[in-house]
Amino acid sequence: MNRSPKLKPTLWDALVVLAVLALAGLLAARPLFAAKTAGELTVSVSIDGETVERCALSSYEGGVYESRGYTLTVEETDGAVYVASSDCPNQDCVHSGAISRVGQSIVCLPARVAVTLEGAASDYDLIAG
Amino acid sequence: MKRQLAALLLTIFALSLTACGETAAESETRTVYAMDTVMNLTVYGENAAAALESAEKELHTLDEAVLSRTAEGSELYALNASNGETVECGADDILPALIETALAISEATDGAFDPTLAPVLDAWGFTKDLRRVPSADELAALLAHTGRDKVALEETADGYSVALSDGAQLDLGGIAKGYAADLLRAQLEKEGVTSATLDLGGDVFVMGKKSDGSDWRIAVKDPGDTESYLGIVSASDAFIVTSGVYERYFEENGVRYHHILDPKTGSPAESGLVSVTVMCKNGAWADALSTACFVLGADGALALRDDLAAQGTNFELIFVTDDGRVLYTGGLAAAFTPNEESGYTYESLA
Repeated sequence: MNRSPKLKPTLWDALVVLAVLALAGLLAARPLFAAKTAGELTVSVSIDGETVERCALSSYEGGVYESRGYTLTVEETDGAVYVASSDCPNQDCVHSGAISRVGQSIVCLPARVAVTLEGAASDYDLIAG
Repeated sequence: MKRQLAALLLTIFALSLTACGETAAESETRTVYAMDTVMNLTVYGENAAAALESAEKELHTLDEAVLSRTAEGSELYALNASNGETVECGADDILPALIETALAISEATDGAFDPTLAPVLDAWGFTKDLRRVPSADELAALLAHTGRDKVALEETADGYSVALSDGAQLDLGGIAKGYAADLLRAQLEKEGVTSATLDLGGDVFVMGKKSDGSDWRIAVKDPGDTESYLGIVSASDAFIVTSGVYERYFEENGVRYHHILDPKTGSPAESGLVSVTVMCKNGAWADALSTACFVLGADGALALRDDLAAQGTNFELIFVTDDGRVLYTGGLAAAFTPNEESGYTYESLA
């Protein structure tokens, strides 16, 4: 009975093993990085349902939005956004105060402007009320 | 050594695969402005785009052709402008069906929900964005034109006839979004959709379950700090509607006036509550009951809950009182998770 010759590991074998280990490690760690990314909030501003601005809350510097004859000024302070002023008739958007959690939004109905905070990491799927 | 190395590699690969998590289910979201509010509709599954297209059309049709008080072409506008004349409707028309439901809820709540408050709402300016405080005499005069007894709805050979007497006017804003959600639910089911969330200006319907088979988690807004929430309700196939003082209000001479009017006084309801959340299986009832329960106050709402349960209509409640308590009914004991950081005192009611 013939016995197969004993194989001796080479430098190439070691490199392949290292590459596979590195790949497996990256795949295993991917959700950790993903969770960190999902925790970041994104500010989304839409006019009449169409998104006109979308950026990370950390880099949002506020903005002035005009729609249907009204002008809204949105500002950011300490990780929260709010409508600082609006010339809409009911001022509901100004009364809404600041939002800082995922899923929250401020809506100006007369202007049809919506400011929403988005992000995947949340304890809930939607907000009632 | 080689076997050990192979085993190690296999283990690492297996772990990496399980750590990848679930792929998000296919979904589409659409924002719709209708019924004087903003709506976010999310549908899951292959038919999502087509289902959203028809849902949006349905909402605009409901708003502009049927339920709007201000659009001259709408059926409700025509009824309110009929000067007491009888208006004939088809057997399958939405307007008489909604009026029938509104009158039934008005009767069940002993008038705490009243679809004929249109002139009083107008006097306060909540419907026209011209807010003001009407005088007591003005309110008394307007209340003479309200009440469900001034709406005559009858079945005819061809459908229904509706007539408004004594200058009565209908405003279905307190029930329309819930009723619309009922219609959308039926339409989505017809199109084979099994999983969706409908947020009609804060009135929420969750259809089916999430793609991982778990219940939806709905945060209930804190009326004292709309940046925060009272807690989270876990639910599937349920409507969750809140009425609260924070939604629409104005201040005059240091007094805050909110939009939930007591049909008996014509003024903002003072019932010891700042918000009421209703959870039930029917959108129209959830919507109208949230208003009625706010007007009735906690004790009255709990008595109503018992009465309706005896008639086969079940619903759950979350009250926020003006002295900082959150009360929730027994059916929510397992489904409601209080937000312990909110500062409220939580009490589960038997």
